[in-house]
Amino acid sequence: MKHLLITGNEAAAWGARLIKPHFIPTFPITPQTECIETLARWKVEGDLPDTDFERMESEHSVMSAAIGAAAVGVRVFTATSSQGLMLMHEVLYIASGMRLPIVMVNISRGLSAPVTLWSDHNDFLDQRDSGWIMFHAENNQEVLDMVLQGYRIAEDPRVLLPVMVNMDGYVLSFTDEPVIIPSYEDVKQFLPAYDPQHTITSDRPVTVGPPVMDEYTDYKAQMHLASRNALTVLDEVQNDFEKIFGRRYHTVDEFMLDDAELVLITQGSMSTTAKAAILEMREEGIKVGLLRLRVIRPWPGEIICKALQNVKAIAVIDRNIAPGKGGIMLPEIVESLYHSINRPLVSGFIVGLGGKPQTEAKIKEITHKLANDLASGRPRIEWNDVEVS
Amino acid sequence: MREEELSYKGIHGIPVILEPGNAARVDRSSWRLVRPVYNKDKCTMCKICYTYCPDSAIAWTKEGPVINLTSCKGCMICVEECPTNAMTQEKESS
Repeated sequence: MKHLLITGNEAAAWGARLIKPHFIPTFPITPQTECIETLARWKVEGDLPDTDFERMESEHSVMSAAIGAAAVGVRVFTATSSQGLMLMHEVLYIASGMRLPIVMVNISRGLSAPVTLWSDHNDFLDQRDSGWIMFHAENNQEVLDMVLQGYRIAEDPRVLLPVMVNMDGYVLSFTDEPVIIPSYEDVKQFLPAYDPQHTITSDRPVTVGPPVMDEYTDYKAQMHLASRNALTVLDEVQNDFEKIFGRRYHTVDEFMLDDAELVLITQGSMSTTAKAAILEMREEGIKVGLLRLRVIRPWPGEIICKALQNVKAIAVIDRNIAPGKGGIMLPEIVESLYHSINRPLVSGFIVGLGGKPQTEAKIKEITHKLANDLASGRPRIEWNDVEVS
Repeated sequence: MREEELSYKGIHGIPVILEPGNAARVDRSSWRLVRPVYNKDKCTMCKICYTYCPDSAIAWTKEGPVINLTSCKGCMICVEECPTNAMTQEKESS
C-alpha cells in the first residue's frame, strides 16, 4: 500500500494495473487520453508484462475487440469519453447481451454540437438502458476502488454484466488528489483469478449471442434479474473490501440526511462541493442534507425512497439534459418516490452543462430556491447557468 | 408473469449455444428461390464451390461436391464462383 498524488485518469489506470488485465484495447479521446497514455507507458516500461495493449482504429473497434477477448475468457479493461462512448453505443448492448464482464472507465464529457471538452453527464446517461452496470465516482479514490469492485461484481455468476465506472472529465480526470494505492497482494486477495462461466475455446466451441425468436424476452428478463442481483452483490462485496482495504461504499451516499428537511440529490464531483456548502449552511441553521447517486444502474429505488422518507423537499440537480423532457434523473427520482407515504416536494435544477463550474455559492442558491419552493408549495424546473434570458 | 415470479437461471439464462455444429441440422430449404445443380462432366475437382459455400452446405467427397439441400439457402455463390460452369441454378418448383 502507498499514497500517491494522482489524477483521476491515473487512478483509473492504477485500478487496471492492479488487476492485471490480459487485454486493453484503446483509442485516445480527450479527456481520457492520459489514462491510456499512462497504461501504454507502463506497458513499455514492463509494469504490465501479461497485458496485450492494443491501439484500435476506433472506439467501435475497441468495444468489439473487448467483447472478443472477454468471450474467450480473459479480463479486459478499457476507457473512453464522450463521443468515443457514443461510437461504442451499438456494441455496448452486445457486450451486456452476451453477459461479458468487461470493466470500462468513462471520463464524462459533454456531447457535440456545439463542441465542448468539459464534463457533463449526457454521454453515459445515454447508455443508461444498455444493460451495463453504471457507477459514478465522486473522487479519484472512488474511481480506483470501483474499478477493483467492478470486476468482482461483473464476474459474479449472479451478475455477469459489464461495468462502467464514470468520473467527471477535467474536475477529476486532470486534478491531482491523494489516492491510496493498494498492494498487488491485497488486490489478489480481494479479486481471485478469473473463472469464466462461458467461453469460446478451441476445445469447446460455442456460439455466443445467436439470433433468437421467441426467447428474446426471456434473455432480456434474465439480464434484468442479473442487474437487480448486482445490488445484492455490491452490498456483499463491501464486507470483503472493508476487511482488506479498510473502506466501504454505500449504495447511495447519504450526507447529513438524518434530520434534513431539504435534500440535494447530486452526482459525481459536484457532490464534494455541495457537501462543503452544506456544512456551512448547517452552521446557519439550515436543515439541509445530500444524497449522492453513485449507482445509476441497477437503480437503487427502494434505498433512495427509504433514505428520503422523512424529508420535506428535494432538489434533483441534473448535470445533463434530455431536450424536450428535462433533467434525466428527475423523473427517475420522482418515480421512486411516487409510491412513498410521505411524498416530498421535488424541484429540478439543470446545472453545469458543458463543464460549467458548480461553486458552493451556486449550491447555496439552489438550496435557498428549494426552501422558497417548500414555503410556497410550488416546485420548479430551474435552468441554473443560463446566461441569456 | 409478475416480476417477482421470474427466476434467475445463471449460465442457462445466457444466450450461448453450448452444442457446436447444430446449425447443420436447421432446415433452410424453404428459404430458397433457386437451387444449385451439379454437373459432374464439367467439374475439374477444384473445390472452389466447397471452399466458398458460406454455410458449409457443400461437402467434399472422392466423387466431388455433394450439396446438402436441407442446409443450402440458395445464395448461388457456388454458381457464381464455379470457373467451369459445373454448378448451374434451377428454379425451385413451388
